[in-house]
Amino acid sequence: MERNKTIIILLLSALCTSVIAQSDDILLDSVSIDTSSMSAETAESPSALPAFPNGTFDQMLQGNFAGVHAVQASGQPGAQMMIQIRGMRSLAGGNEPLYIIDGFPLYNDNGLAISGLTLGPALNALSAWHPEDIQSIKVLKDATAAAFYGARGANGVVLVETKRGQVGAPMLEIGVQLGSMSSLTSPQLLSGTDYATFLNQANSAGGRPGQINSPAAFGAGTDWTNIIQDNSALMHTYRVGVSGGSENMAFRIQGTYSIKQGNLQGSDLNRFILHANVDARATKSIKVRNSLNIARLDANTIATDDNGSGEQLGVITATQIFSPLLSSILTAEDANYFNVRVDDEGNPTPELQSSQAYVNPLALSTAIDSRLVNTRFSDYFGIDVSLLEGLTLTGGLGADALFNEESLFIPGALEFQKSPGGTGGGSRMQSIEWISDLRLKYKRQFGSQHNLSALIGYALQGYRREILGGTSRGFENQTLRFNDLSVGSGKFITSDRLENSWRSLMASVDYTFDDRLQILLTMRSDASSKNGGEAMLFPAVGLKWTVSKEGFLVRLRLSAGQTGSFAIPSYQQFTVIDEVSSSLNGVTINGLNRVRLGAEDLKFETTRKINLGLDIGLFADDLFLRADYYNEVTDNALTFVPLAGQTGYDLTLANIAEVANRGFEVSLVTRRFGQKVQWNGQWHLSANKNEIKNLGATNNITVGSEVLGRDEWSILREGESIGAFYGYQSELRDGVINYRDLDGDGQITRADRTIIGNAAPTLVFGFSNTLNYKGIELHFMLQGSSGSDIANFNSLLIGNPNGQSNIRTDVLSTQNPNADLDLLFSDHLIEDGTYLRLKRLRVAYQLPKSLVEKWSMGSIKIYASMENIWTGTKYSGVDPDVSHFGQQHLFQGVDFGGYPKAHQIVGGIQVQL
Amino acid sequence: MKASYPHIKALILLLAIVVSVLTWQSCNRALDEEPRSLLTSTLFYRTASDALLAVNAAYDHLGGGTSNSGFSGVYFNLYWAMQAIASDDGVAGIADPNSVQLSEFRFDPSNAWTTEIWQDIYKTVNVANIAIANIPNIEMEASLKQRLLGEVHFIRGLMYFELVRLYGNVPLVLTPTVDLSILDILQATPEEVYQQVISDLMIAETNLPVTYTGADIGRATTGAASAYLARVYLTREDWAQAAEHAQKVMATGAYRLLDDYRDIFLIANNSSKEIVFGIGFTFNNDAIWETSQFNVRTLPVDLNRNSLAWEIPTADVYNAFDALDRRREVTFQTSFTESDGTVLTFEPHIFKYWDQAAEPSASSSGTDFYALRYSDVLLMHAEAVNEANGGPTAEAYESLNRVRRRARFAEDEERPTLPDLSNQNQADFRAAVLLERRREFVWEGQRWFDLVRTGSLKEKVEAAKPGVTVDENKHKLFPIPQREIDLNSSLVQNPGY
Repeated sequence: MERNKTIIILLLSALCTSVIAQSDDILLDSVSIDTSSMSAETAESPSALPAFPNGTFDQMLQGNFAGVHAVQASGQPGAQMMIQIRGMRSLAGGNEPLYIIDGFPLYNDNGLAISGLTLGPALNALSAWHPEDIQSIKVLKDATAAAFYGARGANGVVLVETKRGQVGAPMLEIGVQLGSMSSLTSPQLLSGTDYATFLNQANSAGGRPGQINSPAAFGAGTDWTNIIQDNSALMHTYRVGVSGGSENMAFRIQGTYSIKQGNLQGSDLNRFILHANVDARATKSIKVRNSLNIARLDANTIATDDNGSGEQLGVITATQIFSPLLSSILTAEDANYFNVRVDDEGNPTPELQSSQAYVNPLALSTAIDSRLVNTRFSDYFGIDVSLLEGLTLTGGLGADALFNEESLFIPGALEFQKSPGGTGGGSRMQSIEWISDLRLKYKRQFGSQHNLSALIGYALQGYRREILGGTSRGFENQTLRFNDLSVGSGKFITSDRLENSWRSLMASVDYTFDDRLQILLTMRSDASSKNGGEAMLFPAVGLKWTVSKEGFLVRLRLSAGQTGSFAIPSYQQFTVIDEVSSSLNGVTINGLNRVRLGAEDLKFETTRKINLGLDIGLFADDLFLRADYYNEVTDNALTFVPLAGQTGYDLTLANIAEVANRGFEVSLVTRRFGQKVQWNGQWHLSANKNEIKNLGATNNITVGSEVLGRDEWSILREGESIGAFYGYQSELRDGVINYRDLDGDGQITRADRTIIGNAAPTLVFGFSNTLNYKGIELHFMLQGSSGSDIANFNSLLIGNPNGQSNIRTDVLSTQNPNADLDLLFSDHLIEDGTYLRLKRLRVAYQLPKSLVEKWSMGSIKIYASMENIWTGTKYSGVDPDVSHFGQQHLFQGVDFGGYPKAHQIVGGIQVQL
Repeated sequence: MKASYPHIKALILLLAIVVSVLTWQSCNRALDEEPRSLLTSTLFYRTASDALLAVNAAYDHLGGGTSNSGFSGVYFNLYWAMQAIASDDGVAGIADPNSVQLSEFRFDPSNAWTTEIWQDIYKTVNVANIAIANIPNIEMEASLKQRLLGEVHFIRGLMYFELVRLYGNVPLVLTPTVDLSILDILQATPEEVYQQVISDLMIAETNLPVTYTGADIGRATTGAASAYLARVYLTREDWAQAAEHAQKVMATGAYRLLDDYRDIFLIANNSSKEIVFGIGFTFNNDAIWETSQFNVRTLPVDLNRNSLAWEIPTADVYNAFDALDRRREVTFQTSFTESDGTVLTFEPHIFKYWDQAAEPSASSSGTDFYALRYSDVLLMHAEAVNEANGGPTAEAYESLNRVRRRARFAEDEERPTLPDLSNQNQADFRAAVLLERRREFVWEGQRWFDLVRTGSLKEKVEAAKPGVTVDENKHKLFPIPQREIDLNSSLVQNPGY
């Protein structure tokens, strides 16, 4: 079958070689098919919206699009986002959307873009693109839009186009931006005096020694959070670019160098990005287009978002739990214990309160060397040949090569168990993803009312990732750190290689009658090596009926179809033999065993989507309302299914689940009221209801990665939404926590657990406004979500007055000192995550043309902007916009020791010469 | 100008066609790709080296397990900790509901410990089944093949012996899991399971050597197989067979009691002649899972080391010792002197597993878990002979008294305690052996088994733990884990749960 289709494509191509056609625009058609006319929502292309200063372009997805739930998972420079479009579908694979950047399809898995040696959350792989190089972002959500991306479109598609040269005289652009940062507020912890008093109470109540005679002498004590903050953190960005174009050639070359120091000491991100786009007409009928982005990212990271397992060291957790009685000048060597006892002068006594190790936060953030360098080359070259009138052959070749280097050195004094000599490591990862595609497009108008366009094509895409890394322990001399791992004694080497490939065929027909009725049919066949190459068809149909046009636009949209997703690692279908080890007689013996049962008959996850849409435009679309209702059902959702013990395996991957998402979205766009004042406002509101319809033979699967020893804190259950928190119900009585005995058997067992919250928001909203008056531009944006819960694991430590660590002030006043609440995962940890945030405020001034021309310049714009200005929330943690587990959507809504986001204040100037 | 365009276009189209055909072809191949950095099942179990590695994997599942597959071995921690706290020997040291429930005999099928132990054991069964199924097809030296098969039969027999004692009716899986049809295997009766245990251990007894040399030291021996057969028969009250197999071990001449009870637990003596079968652990900075969990679980929190006292001994077990009994001061400590002279005092905690000279930091532990020691063989022998003959014989006295005699010695000094026993009736002798077993094997994974098989669980536990109620009929087995019943509805729960 596939072979035949290929032959048809080739024959059709060959038939058309001899005819010459004219084409006027030197820019190619968008390489990706423009389905925006049919899509439930494309864009509101935020080119009108200013880019986030020194951020990543995917931050623009937060609050600017209906149906998009975006969480900035961390405040670390270049930190990752978690993005869901119309809810979650997969229980084992990825739920992130597919990005198409200048025609190149890319699934953004931050974990694959690093080798994973450095501390802290993964770097956002999309930070290789500078947000100011982005021309437009469109979000495709419904079946017709996503069906063009077939087996990878179910989670939505984000179409990104970068800026290109325009016809005109060459223009030099220079931009400078300067800014500073300070962390969002931390939880209010006990002062020195209060902590000493609290410890005295707790110790006497617990019958422990260690009374401090004069708590008042400690005063405020050491504010560890303040100590590791870098309040002088700066960011600066320098951009130089040239763009221009003539009849036959247009180009834009832009260089960016930016430095972003973290608001916590020891972390930063330096970026050098070269972005170069060229469009050229080679002959009258042949056009070429090249999009190139080269980025070098150089980051120092620190250990935030630890899991509290002891082996991992967490800076933020350490700042919160460390005794305020300890002096901040302690070095790593003499303060490895967060609750070391002190005498009346604050000197540590040899006696410890508990042996749980936590290195002091200052040493953690400054003495550990954790560095990442990513170099990424992304290029897509397209060629467009007009064969005869209306018939165009479009081909493209693209490659995205990523070279990653990571280095880590933890000095011996900081290590858990104080291993002498420290630990060092280095790793190198390289990956390359390539694509080759060819399309034949036909477009013709019949008469004055009939427009027809059709397309057939194919695409091949391949991916290879290789990794080589080594760690070394017990350095005899620690001077050289990771630069010479041979100095260490215990050495460990890892390497890995994975590949996968995709093969796709596509066809579509688009018919429009009188600009009033449009019918779009698409069909795509995809096959992937990840399940052995079996092809699957993804069809979709779309109808658009413009009921009335002039002055009062009313348009109805309907689409239905099937899309897929298969965002799982390669090779899941194989039963894998791997090393296991133990020792006999003190000597390590390694064995090899089938550690994983191969997943049989893996299929694409398929999502059936139905979308009903209504557009209403008033006053020549100055007031535009877009409303959508959607209903999506994902069959064959991939799930890690637990296996009965007698199989000898814990779980296996299978397409067993059925997941439904349904909801509505409303966007209201207003613009240009008045002559002098221009106003562009966007309101977006979306509601999604997620439901696990079917979970195969098992109705319940407990999941949840370990945090502070608690795992299985979430459950997948038929009839419930993904993201349910699963634990005990509790109540505080006289400051003592009591768990509810739900099954009434007289004791608290695991059978007493129930659903105690859900991380998925019911409503997500954004509101952005841009006002223009005589060259002054004011922009502000509010965004937020409601109905979500957050599991605040920080409360296990700073919400627990057991005398083991510092605590929040509110805990002291409401609870019984010395009550040990550090027990089970219960609703005691669950908080309402609803929030509304004033995300941005920006003022810009475009200098009057008369003045600028006097200086022989094109334009000058100055601006000032602030980010994360105000947040309204009941959440007691630092930030309700949080995702401890980053892109692991199943484990969303967890807060534990994360890197706090910053208030940013930025000023800049853009000059065109 | 215009005339040249068709050529260029034709060229481009030709190029496009060539490129697309070539990439299509290459991609067609690529879609069937094989993983290059993963060993798949079809590439393994072919050579003698593969056979050895497959058998090693079974040992690895007994001890540390492995961090990359995310589990701990059968004897890593919960096995012996559960034997300690679900008896009169220990209680939970922290408020973890799982251990508190076991300690107070309030556990139900959702208990995490009994759930994990079930899974760990069946994983090991599967590893053994893989080796047993594949090794016969490998062309290799016959004697090595025979030995390797003996080793995995030993381990499988051992695993089913644990399963049948802990859970009673268990699915008897004897083939490797290749697909989910393995779930069709239903629970076997204890009798069927025991027949399999005996059959596996007899193959091991026949195939395995008396001792090993070099890097093979620590592997299962014929003596270990005989000793486990003795334990199996003892559990089944087949006294003559038990005595005979204990006698077999004694007759190998490969084992002896160390002179001082303390020396057994020194890391240097992990493979001493006292050890009939041990589970290897090592103090190893690089692989945290290969170290045992003895120190972290047993040593008191006040010690200011990596010591969390997750389980603590009962006063009852501490008081079961004569003050001069060498085993009491080795097994427990109530104080500790730091190097700077500071003296810490605390309630009795288990200290015997901490080799203080070898691992002063106690941060991890390289002490092995002794699954079966020679003193056990002697005590099994004494017990079996006493039962088989309707009372103690001279050889029964000798076996028991050898263990008591050793406990009188602190280095070279013989203390006036634990005199040799004589003139006991059968019941007194039976009680004496049980008491000796308790003192000899504190927290060595024996106590709950001993109490259940002697029918004294209720009596002893209730005496040691006031307020705790034991239902002998119910608590002679642990519950089939609820997780297993949820995933395999054909499983039938044990009575009372």
